[in-house]
Amino acid sequence: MTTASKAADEPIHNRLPVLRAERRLSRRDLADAVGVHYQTIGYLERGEYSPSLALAFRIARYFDLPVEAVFSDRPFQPMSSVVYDQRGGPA
Amino acid sequence: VTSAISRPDRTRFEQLRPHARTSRRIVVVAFGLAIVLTAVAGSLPDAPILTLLGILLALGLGVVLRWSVHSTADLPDEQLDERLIRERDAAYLTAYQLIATVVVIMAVGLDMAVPLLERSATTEISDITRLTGALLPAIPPLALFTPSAVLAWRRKEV
Repeated sequence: MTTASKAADEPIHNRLPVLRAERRLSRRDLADAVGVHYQTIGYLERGEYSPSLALAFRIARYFDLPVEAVFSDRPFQPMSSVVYDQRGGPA
Repeated sequence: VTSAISRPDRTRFEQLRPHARTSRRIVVVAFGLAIVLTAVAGSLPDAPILTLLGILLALGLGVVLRWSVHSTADLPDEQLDERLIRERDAAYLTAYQLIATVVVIMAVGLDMAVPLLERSATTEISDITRLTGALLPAIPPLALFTPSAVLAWRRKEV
């Protein structure tokens, strides 16, 4: 089984695109910060590669968030609906 | 991760490197054909120049394949990240299976061909020797560059 097909069978969802956009980080910036090739960030964002536990923790630590806020085995709700629900209505 | 891998756009021979997936796959196919050419030329009588040409072509295309994947197949773990290590290891496994299959097919082919040649009245010993020797020049480029060829075939991006 290839890396890609295994990742497709057991996808690890993540919020990397949202977190990068919020902080105006390029893939290259994030890759350099966590010590991986910049294309690996693309693979992670597209769900084509599931990170090791060590890499997941490095990324979460970089964003100063708990790992479950960045990675999950279930699909994340859109950030906008999470924020809206917490406030009980629009801001 | 080294600068050579994290900054692939700064290699010395950037113009020669196939960027698109299609062009990488074309080089892989050409590499395979060069291997076949080498083996066929080696089996022909009096075709040492064609054999040499096949070897040089296979080696040249193999070098282009290495560039196309930034030599990922040949780098130690320290210079790769975890995804690249996994990709490289998977490519080596596939390459090993491919090379083993080709070598087994060659061996079985020879095992079947040699007795047939021996039975033929017109066959000389040199024919058998030539047939056996023909396959040998194809093995080194196959062994050297198949991991890079597998990586080049699989890789989606630059």
